[in-house]
Amino acid sequence: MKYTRLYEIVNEHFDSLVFILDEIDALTGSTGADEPAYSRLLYSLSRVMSEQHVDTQLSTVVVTNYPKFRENLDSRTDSSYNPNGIHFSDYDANELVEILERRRDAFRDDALEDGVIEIVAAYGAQNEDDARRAIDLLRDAGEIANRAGDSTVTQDHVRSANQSVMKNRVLEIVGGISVQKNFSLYRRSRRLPRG
Amino acid sequence: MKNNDSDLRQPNAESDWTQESESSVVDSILDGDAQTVFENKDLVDSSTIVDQDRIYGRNEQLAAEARAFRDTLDGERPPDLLLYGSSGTGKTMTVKAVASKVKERTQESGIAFDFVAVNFKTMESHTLDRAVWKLGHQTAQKAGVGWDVP
Repeated sequence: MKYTRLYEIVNEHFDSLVFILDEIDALTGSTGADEPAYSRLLYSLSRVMSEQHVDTQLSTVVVTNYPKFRENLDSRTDSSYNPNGIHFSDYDANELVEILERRRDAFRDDALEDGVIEIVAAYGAQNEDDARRAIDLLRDAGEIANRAGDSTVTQDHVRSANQSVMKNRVLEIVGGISVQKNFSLYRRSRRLPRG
Repeated sequence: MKNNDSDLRQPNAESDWTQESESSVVDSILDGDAQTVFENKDLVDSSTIVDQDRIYGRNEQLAAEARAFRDTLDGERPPDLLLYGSSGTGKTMTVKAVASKVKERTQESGIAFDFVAVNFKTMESHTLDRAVWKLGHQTAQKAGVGWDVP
């Protein structure tokens, strides 16, 4: 039903379509399944392409940070799925500075105190060299400056932004576990349908 | 309580003093110049698709993605890609930048091309069923049609 409607839309509206499947390793599926759900998703998609169920040129871009992604593919999926791999290396602190410099014009002229970008990059390097988190941190520091009514973002704003990010991450981890546990208990007790 | 209340009011404009001061503080903020350090906040939003001149240190990856998508412009099916590496290393960012470029070119040449990006981590349940549903939902949105599947 879902597949039918999806391929109907694809076929009718696109000559060529790319599915960008981001963090596909999160698709673990139900516990106890013999293969992860992402393996079955890729199998279905590759079959649609090879058996030409649609006239559309369909292709996939799988995005993952899970090193064992290929190993956990079911063998029938693995044999029909042969992507070009592209590796993304970690950034270092100097590269993070370059990346953040290219976003400097997100701010008004002179709104960033000297050294702000460098300290954001340094925190970013501590946070697994994650450029996304570094960019988020720069924005958060700006929000904190705004809330305080300050016209420049200072290194202190960055420090307090980093502190609240750290705090939230802990809450997220703790909260995430209990919400999921609670939900599965709730579902079991109510026998709610999955989905 | 009552005493306090009347203490707060000015003797002369007793009836509308409170209201006036409340609206003036709101008006002065809404009508005045924005008190913000930002010029263009989208640029520090990690979900914004940025131009490749803002991307640093990923030339090799951008080139590999562009070579793959080149097929689209020739009416062929591009190879499947597997982008791997740690979080925040530009995987999604680069491929969206390249796909946007390809989309611009295909619009000129009349090829109906698009890309549908789905993040599976942000789903409430990580089942195949839910994944296909979300893929369909996003695809319908790009096609500009309804997705009435429960």
